[in-house]
Order: sequence, then C-alpha cells, then structure tokens
Amino acid sequence: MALILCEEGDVAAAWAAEQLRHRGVAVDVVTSDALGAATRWVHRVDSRTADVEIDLADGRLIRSAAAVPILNRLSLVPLRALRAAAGQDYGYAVQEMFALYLSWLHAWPAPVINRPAPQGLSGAYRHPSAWRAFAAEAGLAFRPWAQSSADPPALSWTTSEPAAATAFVVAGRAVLPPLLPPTLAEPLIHVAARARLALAGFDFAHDAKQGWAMVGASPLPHLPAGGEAVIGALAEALGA
Amino acid sequence: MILLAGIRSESPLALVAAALRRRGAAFRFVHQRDVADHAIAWRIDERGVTGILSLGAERIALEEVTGLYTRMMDDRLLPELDGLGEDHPARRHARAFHDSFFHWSEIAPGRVVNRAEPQGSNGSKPYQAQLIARHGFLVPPTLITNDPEAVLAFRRTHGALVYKSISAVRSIVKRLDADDIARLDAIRWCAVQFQAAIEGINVRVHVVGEKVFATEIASTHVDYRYAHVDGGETRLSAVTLPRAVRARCIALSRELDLPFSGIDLMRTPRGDYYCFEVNPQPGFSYYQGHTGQPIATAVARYLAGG
Repeated sequence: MALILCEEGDVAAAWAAEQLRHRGVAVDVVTSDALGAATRWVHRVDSRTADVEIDLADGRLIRSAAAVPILNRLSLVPLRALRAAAGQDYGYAVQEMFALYLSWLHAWPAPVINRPAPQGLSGAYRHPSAWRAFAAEAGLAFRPWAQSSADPPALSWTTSEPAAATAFVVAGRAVLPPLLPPTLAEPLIHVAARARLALAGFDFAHDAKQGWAMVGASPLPHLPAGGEAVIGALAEALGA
Repeated sequence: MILLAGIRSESPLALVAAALRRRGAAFRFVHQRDVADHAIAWRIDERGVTGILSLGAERIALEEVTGLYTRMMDDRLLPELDGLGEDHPARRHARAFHDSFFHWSEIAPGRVVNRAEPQGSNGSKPYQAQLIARHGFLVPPTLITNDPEAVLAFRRTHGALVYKSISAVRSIVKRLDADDIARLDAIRWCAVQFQAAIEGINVRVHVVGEKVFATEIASTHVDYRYAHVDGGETRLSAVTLPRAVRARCIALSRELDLPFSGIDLMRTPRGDYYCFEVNPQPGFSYYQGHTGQPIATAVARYLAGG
C-alpha cells in the first residue's frame, strides 16, 4: 500500500499511480483539496515521538500509526477552504497550515518521497543559481547563470534553454536516459544529497563545445519522462 | 571585505559595525535606504561566483567579500518607496536589487550570518521541535488540532496549557484560560497549537560559531518579551550553562546550519532543560544591553574569519 499526495490535475502523479498499480501496488491518491477539506486534524509532538491523525471528509483516515509509504507531490497548502473561512486572516492561515504540513510530513514514520522542507512541501524549491552551486561542488557541468539589478526580478527564476534529456535520482540511485553518459551518475547523486532530496529531476542541454550540461533541476520532476526505470526505482524506494 | 546589509541604525547591525571598527576590519554598509544608489551584477560559472556590487561611486568585487551580516527588511516597506506604484522605476529597481543581492548571498562562498535557507526551520515550530529533540533537549508535549475534544483530553493529561501560532507569524504565547475553553469551538476552522505549560526559568542562549552567551530571564509574564506591554517586569542576567547543555546548543546551531542563533531554553526546578525554539535572526542587542555580554564582538570576530 502506498499513498500519493498531489495537486488536482497532477498528470505525473496520476501516471505514477497507474504504473504502481500495474506492478501490483495498492495506491491511494489524496489530493491537496481533499486534505484541505479534512474534518479533523490531530498532530502530536514531544521529546520522543510525533504522530498524526487526519480524517478526510469522504471518510478516509490517514494515520501515521499505519505507516504507509508516501509519494509526496504537494506543492501548496490547500487554499480553497482557507480562502473561504479565513477572511482577513487568510495570509496568516496559509502560514499556519504550511507550518502544520511541514511538521506532519516530516514526522511521518515511513518513507516519504520527498520529505518536505521549509522552502517547499515536496522538498526545497531552489533558485537556478543554487542548483548550479551544488553542481559546481560536484564537478557537474552546468550552464552559467548571471543575474543583475538591471534584470526584472520576475525573470530571475526562469531558464530559457530547453532540456534535451532529463536524468533522475531516486533514493541515492541515478536513473539516466541512454542519451546521457553514465559518468554523470555520481555527481548527480551528490547534488541530490546536498539538496536533501530522495527524488530529483535534472534537465540537460547539449552543445558541441561543452557537451552535456545541467540547465535546471526540480524536486517535482515530470515522472513519465523517466519511464519504467523511474517507477521501478520509486517502487523499490517506497518499499511498496 | 565584510558587508553589513540592512538599515544602518538598526541596533544589532550598528553594534556589529562598532565591533568591526574596534577590530580595524574593513566593512561597508549595504544600507537599504540608499538602494537607489546600489547595483549588483554577478554570475556563477566554472570559475565560481564573481561579480560587482556598486554602492554609490564605490565598486566592490564580490570575490573579495569574505563576510556578510544580513538583517534586511522587506524592501517593499522602505520609506523611500512610500506612495510609489508597483511599476514605478524606483520600486522596480529596489525589488531587482534585493532579489539579485539575496540570491547572490545564498551561494556566496564567504561567511554569511545567516543564509536564508537554514532560517526556514523557524517557520514551523513543531517541525523545528522535532529537529531540536534529536539533540537531547526536551521539547514541551505539543498538540496541534482543530478538535476541541482532543484539546480537553490533552489538558486532562498535561494540566495547564499554553497556545501559540504554529508558524513564526503572530508568535505570542498565551495561557489557555476558562474564557478560551468556552470558545474552543472556534478552532474547528483552522488547527491551533497547544503545549503543556512548563514551569521554570527562561534562558536565552546566543550561539556564535563555538561561542555561547546565556542570559537568564526573570519575568512576571509567560511571554517575557511582551511583559512591558501589560505593565509587567523582566530582569536579565548573564549565566553559565552546564557543559553538556552548552555543547548541545553548539551542536544544534551547527546542525541547523546557523552560525549565529538565539536558542530559547527553560530550566525547570529539577534542572532539566526544555528548548522552545531556535531563532535564526536574533535581535541580540536587548540581551547585550542588559547583561554586557560581548555578543556583537563575537559576531564581528566570526565575520572576520576568527
């Protein structure tokens, strides 16, 4: 049994659920909106343990005592119910719910891919320059990144170069498409570890001068791009 | 070269500047109120992180910046930008400068007090409590719920309770009293954090690298920071922590990747130490002012590579 947490319309999550079921894994998909409409939350933390009980409106129960593995693709705290209820306190309520989600997903006693981070519910969402700093550390070739106070800040998160290939790291194991050289595996594993991610996708571009170079990375990769190999690695990592 | 980023007159920044002056260390303010005269351009490539910071007429090579103490305020609230629309060139320049400076500071190779990413753990108190507990500190039994019955059961188990925000927003601690119990149904729309009330003496610990400064706080109020608002009283005095607690504070700060932290402890009458939270951006001037502890000097020494 595995739980997939995702946003409504997450095509990659739907694909992963289908592929895992093909492998005989029982999968329950819980959307962000379903979590947002939960009727009861109980999350306890003390010096030794932490646990959580969530009662969904449709009668499903999420219990840390059941300790099922989670494929976590949440990107935002559920906003619909909060927006309706919180009024002027909406901004505060969003912060409070994010803090709760960060804590309960961190506390979950079975594998969670990915664990949340203060910078993102599915693992830290990093600026392109931060990924490049990790790549530099690992000896991984990457496209340079430049930024200045003359640039519009809204553009500072975007990369213009399209990816020619996507590599994955799943639980310390690199899954590379045939196009990419196997020598990339080790540095990619290093970058994922530095980013504290069990699952990460890395986009590469190619040119004659530099060869393959990283142009982007994400804690929420498009899983279908990794095909069977990524699902196999995920199933193994989830222990499902 | 060391940079101090924020508002030049803000107490912590001013105290660190004075300490750097005493050391004879070279430093510059990145004074946010002068942002109109600031510019930055940088890149990361196979040679590392390089670039130029312009402060008025002065040009500073970013490769020469070895330390940064950053206490920047939200640039959207700068008085110089009051009344200017979102698309006003001055506001757009301020936003672009701060965004670019911020992303540079996250990957700058020098000593940064503190980078933004590790500060994030303070955004969720129960999440941070789980990290704290790994270091051998006790953390108060905590319940986050939207179920009034669960709160009453928790109260039966633990006795007196306090409540406070789960996040870092509106972080004021209040005792749960009879009036609160009467309106407990209000928590159904959004979960609230409750904790067992721990009795003891508050101790604020500032960790700067390997240096530890502990301050004991005697107060008439549960949340001593707000005692003066209600006509209460708070007294601060420097204390020495037991060796093991001190080592735990250093290890916790290091694991959280915070060269400078403010750790809130409570010593119980039995001598146990509870840890409530780790503040990643401590406004230490209040504690230094009341105890004379050389916290700014330690921050300056750390920034200077000592």
